Amino acid sequence: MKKKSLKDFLFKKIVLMVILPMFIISCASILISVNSIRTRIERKNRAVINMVDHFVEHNEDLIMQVGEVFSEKHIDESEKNNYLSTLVKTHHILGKIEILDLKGVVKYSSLGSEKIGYDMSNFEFVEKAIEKDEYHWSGVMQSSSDGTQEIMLAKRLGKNILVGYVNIENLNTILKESLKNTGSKMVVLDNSGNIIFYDIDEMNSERKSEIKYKYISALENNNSKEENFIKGRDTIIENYGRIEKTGWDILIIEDAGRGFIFLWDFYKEIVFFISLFTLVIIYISYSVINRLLEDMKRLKAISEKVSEGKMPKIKEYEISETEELAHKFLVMGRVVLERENNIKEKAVFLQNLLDTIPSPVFYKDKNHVYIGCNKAFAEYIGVKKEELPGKGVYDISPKHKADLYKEADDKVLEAGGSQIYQSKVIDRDGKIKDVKFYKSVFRDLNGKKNGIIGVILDITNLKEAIRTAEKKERMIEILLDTVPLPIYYQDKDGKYINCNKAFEELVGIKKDKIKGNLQEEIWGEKLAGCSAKRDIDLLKNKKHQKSEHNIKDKNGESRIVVFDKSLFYTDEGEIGGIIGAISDITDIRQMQEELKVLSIKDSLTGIYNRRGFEEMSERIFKESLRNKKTVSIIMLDIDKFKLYNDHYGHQAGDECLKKIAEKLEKSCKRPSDIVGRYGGEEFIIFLPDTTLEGARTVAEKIRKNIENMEIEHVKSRHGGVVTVSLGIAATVPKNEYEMDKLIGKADKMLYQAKELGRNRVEG
Amino acid sequence: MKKVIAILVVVLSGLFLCKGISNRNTISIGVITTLSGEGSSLGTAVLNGIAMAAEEFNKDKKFYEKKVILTIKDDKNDPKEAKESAEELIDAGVVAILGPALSEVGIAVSKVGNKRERLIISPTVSTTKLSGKDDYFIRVTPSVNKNAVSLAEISRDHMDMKKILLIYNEKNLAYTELFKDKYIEKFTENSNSENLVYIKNSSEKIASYFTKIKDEVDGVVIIASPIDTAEITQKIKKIKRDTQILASDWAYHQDFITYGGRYAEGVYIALNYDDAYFGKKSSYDERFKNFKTNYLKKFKEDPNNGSLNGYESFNILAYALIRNKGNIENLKKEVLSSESEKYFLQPGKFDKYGDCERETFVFQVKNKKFKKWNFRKSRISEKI
Repeated sequence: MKKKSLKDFLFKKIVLMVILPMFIISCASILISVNSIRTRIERKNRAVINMVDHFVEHNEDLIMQVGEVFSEKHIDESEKNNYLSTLVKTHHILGKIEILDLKGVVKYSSLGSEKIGYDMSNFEFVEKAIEKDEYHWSGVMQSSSDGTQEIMLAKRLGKNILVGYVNIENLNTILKESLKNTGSKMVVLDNSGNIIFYDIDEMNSERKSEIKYKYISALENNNSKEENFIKGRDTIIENYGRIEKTGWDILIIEDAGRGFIFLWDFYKEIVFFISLFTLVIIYISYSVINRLLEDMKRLKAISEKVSEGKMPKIKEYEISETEELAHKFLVMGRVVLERENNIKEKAVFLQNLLDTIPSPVFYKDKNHVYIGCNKAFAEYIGVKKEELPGKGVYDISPKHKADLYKEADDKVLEAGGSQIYQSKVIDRDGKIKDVKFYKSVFRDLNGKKNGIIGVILDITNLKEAIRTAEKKERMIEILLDTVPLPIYYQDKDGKYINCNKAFEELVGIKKDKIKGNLQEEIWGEKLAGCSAKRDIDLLKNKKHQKSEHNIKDKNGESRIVVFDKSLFYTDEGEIGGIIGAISDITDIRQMQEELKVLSIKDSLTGIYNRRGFEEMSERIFKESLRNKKTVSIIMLDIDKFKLYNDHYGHQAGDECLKKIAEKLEKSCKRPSDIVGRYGGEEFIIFLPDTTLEGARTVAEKIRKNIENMEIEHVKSRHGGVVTVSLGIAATVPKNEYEMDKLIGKADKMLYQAKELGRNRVEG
Repeated sequence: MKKVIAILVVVLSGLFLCKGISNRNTISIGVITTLSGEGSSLGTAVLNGIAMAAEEFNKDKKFYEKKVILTIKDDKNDPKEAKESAEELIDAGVVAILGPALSEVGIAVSKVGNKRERLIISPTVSTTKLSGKDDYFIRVTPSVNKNAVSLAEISRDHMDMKKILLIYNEKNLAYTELFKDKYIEKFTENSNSENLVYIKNSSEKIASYFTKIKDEVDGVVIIASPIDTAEITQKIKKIKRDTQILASDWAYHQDFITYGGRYAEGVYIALNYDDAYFGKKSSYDERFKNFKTNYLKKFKEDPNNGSLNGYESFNILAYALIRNKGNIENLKKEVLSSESEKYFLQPGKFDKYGDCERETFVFQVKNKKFKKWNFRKSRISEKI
């Protein structure tokens, strides 16, 4: 669509196409309706004029006939009045006819002799008839004393003045009948304003007066519609025609509400007001548009200033809305300028950033034309940075390379993602370099592909470094595999990174399957959970950690191992994970256990030695102390054992001790009973939960059993067999020191038994 | 352009405002007069005077000033009709009623005015039946007595008449009868029965009795409407051409001359109106002259006492209303105040009852015109 300016729009669309046509149409329609109404009124008016003319002529003819009859025909004097009377009767419209002499005195009358001699010379129309040989009509006259109204006409004929009387009521009846259904509202007035004829239904003397005064007032004021001063039907009258012969006026009567139908003045006012209104509307629209345009100019100035990168000044505006808009524009301008600066700064920053990147970076549009690059790229391809934009890939690379690049570019443009590929290129110095191309499609804000951005990474050194690192890694692996201890290392999350062969063998899983797995998958949840907890501690405390665990090896055998764990760090000094070594201490632990047993048992008899007895009895004694239970001690000594040894030798002596020890163990059947060798040939028994009586029973039983063993002892006084003396003591322990007291007491009792003759129980 | 628009807006709003104000600013005045039938000559003249005054009154008023609107009623010279009209007007809210013209209906209207306590100002009712009453009826014309007495004095003292035929109209008895009685009273006063008056009413056929008394009467006194008086005059003069005829003030109208023809010549009429009231260089003078000129221009006939009294009564009422700020209360007092006197175009004065005192003049028809007749002067000249 063709654009139009506001002024054009206002003028063409509003003024020319809307307001003007509206104005013309309204005026035209008013004119047409006014004209049609006027035509209708005029037509009616003509009808009335014609009718009244016809009526006038008819009466004039009639009067003339009478005159001719009077002048030509010989009628007897006495018959003349009768002749007139008869004539009146045959013509309803005439009330009476009189014939006057030239002095104005009635000579003959249709009313008879009574009127004869009546002087009518003072009637104006009679006076005129006398003077001039024409028809003369009167205005509305009162008919003598009865008050009826009539109009008269007079005509001189020779020496006679013919006078006809027309009764107004009769005239109205006749004319109204003729004008029936024409819808006219007309009044015929004489020139004093008295109503001769009316074609209005409601007409009384008051209304007649109202019309009369309005008519007179209108005549005086040049037909202008003066304000009403008589309250009536509020009618508006318009003088519309004149009966020339008689000088009567014809008025159109309308109620004020319908008065407009013939009041051209009213329409003139309407047209005037419409045109005034139209002009005002045009002016207002025009001035509004003008102001708007002024304001728009100022708004335009704002945008121009902003485009120039300057901040515009605040100005006065004509219209408040545009002023608000201008404020918004200013705010927007400020934002735009700020953003532009930001963008510029960012652009400079980005360019600097690009230039500081040591790798060559370039970007080109989708037609493979370079848009820009960084310093490294310019140096890399050996051109000036400023010269690159606008050049194509074929301008800076040999054809076979350019073909490859173009193909790669097309691919990435089509796919729309990013692209990485390695290639070998020859640099400025002619060296072959390993490079990696990183290419991505860049898009506009709408997501439409706009071109390619690419980075060239020189990976020649990287590749070398990788190769060296790979060599080192292999060396370490071999080294580790040669270490017999299982060694592993995990990342911070507990996933295995690697391990050695010893580890593989310990867990029975191949290295490949260990790598990347968590501890629980290798060790089972219990150990792993415990280990993971310790690992967390380690990561937190960063201290070397040593812990012992029971594990099952690949054959399902329990092993005791020690985990030695330390953290290892990356080159950057960050925690890389945990390195651990596992030592199997199962055999060491077994040897330790055996050594421990040896230290508390008597090597000859196999029962607890004094140290073992004290260790074991102390534990149970403490229990009894808690439970407040009675404990007893039996002290036992082989009677005259020195003599036995001397007699049978030390070997036999040792055998004897073994047998007695064996018997003691058998005699004390409760597991909690503790039997021990107290020294030389002295034995001690601890009986928990046993009263003194109980202990005596046990002691007596032991004495008897040993006696009954009948071990030969020739030097003995008691049947030549080996016997024993026993001392007992019992107590409910109150503190932990009572054990020594109890032993002391039992020892006393043993001494007492020995004193009292041996082979007996005392206590 | 801004100024043009501002002016337009002011003018337009002013127009609408004026319209609104003018609608509210109206004084409604009722008019009862005789517009049809017998007596309409005087009734119409009265109404012409009132209408002319009202139009002039409104013409000078600014849009914010009160204007008058008249409501006209035709009493048809019928007391019953007049009474109903008065009631209707008061119901419609008129502040006062001007009229009526004739005495008989005047009595009926005054009763309504007293009952409804609304002021009635009559231009022409002159019956003495309404004289000396402190009521709501006021008139700007003196009582019938003065004119009757003047006419009696002229006929008796200046024309030396002894026998008079008196013909009077029976339809407006409140006027005609009182006129007749006063005339007879004055005419026969101190005459030792020398002076005689034959009394006939206008409906009787003159020919039937006039010949019988034609040698005996010195003059005829007619108390009737203008056309009636004209017709009676014609009839009498047809019988005895040189009969001296005197007519009541009711007959003072152009119609009398028109209908009377040349027989109207020489007829005397006494009334409280001076058709030639100028030349005295008084403040009354110019105003009456203007009134007469305007009236003639407007209605194409000379004014008479009815028109003048109608004109005066309107102005007296309208300006009293303005002085009284449109209130009905105390309106009578305001109307009767000395302020009202300046609205008389010929000297006049109210008494405390609202009756009016005015000078009486005698007119004689000469050359189809009413000419003021200075009977003293004429008498002297006759004697010389």
